[in-house]
Amino acid sequence: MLLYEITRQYKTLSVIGMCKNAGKTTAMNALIRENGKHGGTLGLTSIGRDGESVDVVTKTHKPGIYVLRGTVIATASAMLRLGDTTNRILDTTGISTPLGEVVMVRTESDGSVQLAGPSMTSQLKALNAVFFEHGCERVYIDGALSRKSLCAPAVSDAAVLCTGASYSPNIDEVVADTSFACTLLSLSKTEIWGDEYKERMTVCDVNGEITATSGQETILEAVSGRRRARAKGLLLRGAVTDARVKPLISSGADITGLRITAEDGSKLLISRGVYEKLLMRGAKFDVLETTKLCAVTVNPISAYGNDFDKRELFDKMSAAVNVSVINVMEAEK
Amino acid sequence: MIDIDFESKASIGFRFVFDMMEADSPYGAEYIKKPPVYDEASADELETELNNVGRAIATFADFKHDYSLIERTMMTMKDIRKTLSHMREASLDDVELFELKRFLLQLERIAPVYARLNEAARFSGIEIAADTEALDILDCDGTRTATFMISDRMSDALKRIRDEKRGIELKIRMSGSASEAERLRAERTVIAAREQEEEARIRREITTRLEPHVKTIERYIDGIGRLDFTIARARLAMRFNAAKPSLGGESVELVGMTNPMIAEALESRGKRFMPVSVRFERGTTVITGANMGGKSVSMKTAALNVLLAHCGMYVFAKSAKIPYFDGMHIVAEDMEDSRRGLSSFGAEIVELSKTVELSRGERRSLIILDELARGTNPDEGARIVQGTVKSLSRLNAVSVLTTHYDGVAQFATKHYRVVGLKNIDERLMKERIAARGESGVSVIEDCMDYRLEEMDGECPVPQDALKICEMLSIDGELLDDIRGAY
Repeated sequence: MLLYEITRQYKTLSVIGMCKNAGKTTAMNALIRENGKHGGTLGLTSIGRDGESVDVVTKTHKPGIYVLRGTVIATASAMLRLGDTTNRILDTTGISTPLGEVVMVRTESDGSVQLAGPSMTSQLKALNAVFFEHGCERVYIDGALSRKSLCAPAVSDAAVLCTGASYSPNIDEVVADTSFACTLLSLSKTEIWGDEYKERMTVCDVNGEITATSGQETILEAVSGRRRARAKGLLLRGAVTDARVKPLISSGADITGLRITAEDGSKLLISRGVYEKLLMRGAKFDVLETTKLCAVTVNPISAYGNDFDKRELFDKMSAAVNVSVINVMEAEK
Repeated sequence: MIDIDFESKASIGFRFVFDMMEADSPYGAEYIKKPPVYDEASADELETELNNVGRAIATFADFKHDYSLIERTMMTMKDIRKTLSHMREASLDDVELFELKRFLLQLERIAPVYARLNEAARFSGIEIAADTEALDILDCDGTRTATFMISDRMSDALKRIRDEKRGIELKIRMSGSASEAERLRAERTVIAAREQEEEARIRREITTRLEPHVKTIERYIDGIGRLDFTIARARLAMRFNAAKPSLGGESVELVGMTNPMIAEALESRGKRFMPVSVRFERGTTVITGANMGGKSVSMKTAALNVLLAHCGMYVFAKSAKIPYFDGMHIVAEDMEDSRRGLSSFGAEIVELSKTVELSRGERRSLIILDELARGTNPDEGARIVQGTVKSLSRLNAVSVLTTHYDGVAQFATKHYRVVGLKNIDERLMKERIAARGESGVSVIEDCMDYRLEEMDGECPVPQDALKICEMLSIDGELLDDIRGAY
């Protein structure tokens, strides 16, 4: 099944990568081309700046994003002269970036473009509205690298995750880490909390009583049941890192049935090992805002020379994740 | 030109007034951020500004829709002055050309409306018109759409290159094999580079053709800024029923003046600002009166309105006559620079000395002293103030000072006293205070008559302080002892 078909029902789609050279741009290009055949006006932007014709880290050739005539792009003004489309300036946005103000441009020819959009979630959200004002029917967002700054769910309706041989020379590690990323991005919506609790850490005890913790209270004190009845839910705002949750493992505290809630999948920066240990101890994870992860693309070609067998990668990945897997090289054809 | 430091501006409520104003365009916002100040040498300009505000007020009702259209257009304006100055150095890029075109379109929209409005309003020195010639350079298709691209019509060469590029792009779309697509893309890249070269040449050409228009466009930008500022001043004047000050003469005459900053603070406590009238002549005016009588407020309010008038603003008063000052000095404890490590008295005296020195070099100054030497012992304090009054009276200045000290007024040109608690029914007030207990202060504030009355010659400083002690129902024994000491 084509990537385009899988994602066509979503108005805004983020394409995110597990690493550089994971095939993000290839996936974007495939989507753009298919959209050109079937879809209406397309809007394109990126989270921050990500993409040069030569990758500065690995010095490998990187394909540029090749758009069709009539595409609306939002990019920093300094990026315009790096592309080779004929451009019509539609509007300025007032969003400034280190590379100049983000401007709205309609391409009056096919050609390659360089995207450098806003880096703040709120700005991206505002920008989506501008795209639709300019008649776009669909918006693709070139998401940043790694999970650290990837699509906050607020920004797009759905996401595609790109991974491949460039992530690690060990195929099983690629599959396991990608599968773990999918798990985090597919966590279900919490049933305990609404969005009204803004503290860094909020506790819900077994009686359903909800308390915001003070700044001094440690995560262990919060769940231990020493100050209040035993906790059944723990809402953690901000990044959820290994260091933040490790005390729950090392202390031996009883966390059976504890639900740990993060703001969204992109805020969960914990390692697979820590996550699995917490699950073994009986904790469960969920999120305030869910992401619709709709596909994983795999790229068997590595920028570093250690290519995988494309069949093996596809099969192993398909077995490990519960969303559609697409070989990005075949998506290209 | 009169100017006072930032803290003083904040303290008299000057910043507060400008913070209430809202500009529509970035050009008008600049005037609000840094208002111009006029003096006697620029009296004509100041008169023009005040007249323009008056004309805006007079035409607001009849031309509501025109004003609204102009203001809405101004709200969408971006500051293009950087682009204009950039134009003198290098050719503009597409985004800059877009911004310039958008501004010229905005001008074209405003121009006929402004022309119609101006026929009635007759603003002086505000020039806003369309620069059709410049706009035509940026809009060679004549569509007047607010987007910009280097159009095919700008050169035959460009059209040929783009046609060729388009042909290859279609081939790429239909290419069967990856290698064919690769070859076509390489071919396309070469043509795209030629397109960029030709576009760059056209941008240089456009920039050169636009350059002679820069001065005109800058004049219209100035017009927009001034109209915007005029509208903002007029709106504020209407909201507060402010008056056009009449500038000139030798004395400050403010009838029924108010101070929006202090009024707002009072309103938040459920009180109202009582308008006060003053006439300060050349020489020294001394204001005496009860504690809590608003002496400082009256002085600050006068200072505020004098400064506003010099900025081409309507004043917060029923009527106002204000001389042209070329210096304004405020010495008050809450504005002193205690960072220099001087005691408050020391800092005050240094400031006073600086003021007197500066004023000698000025043609006409306004000097405001709030309870000079209040921190020192009353006997010496009174002498210092008496001496200061004498010294100030020799200056070419309108000086005003508030004091608690006796025997100062005899050296002054004029003596004002806060009406204070003179006319109230003390018994009734005591009952009210008794009923309210702790909030006696609030009752006194309610009953205080903040108006100033002119006194003839020397008369003793009123003993309202004792009255206030009595009314606050302080400890009986304490009160007896205080009475005994009088």
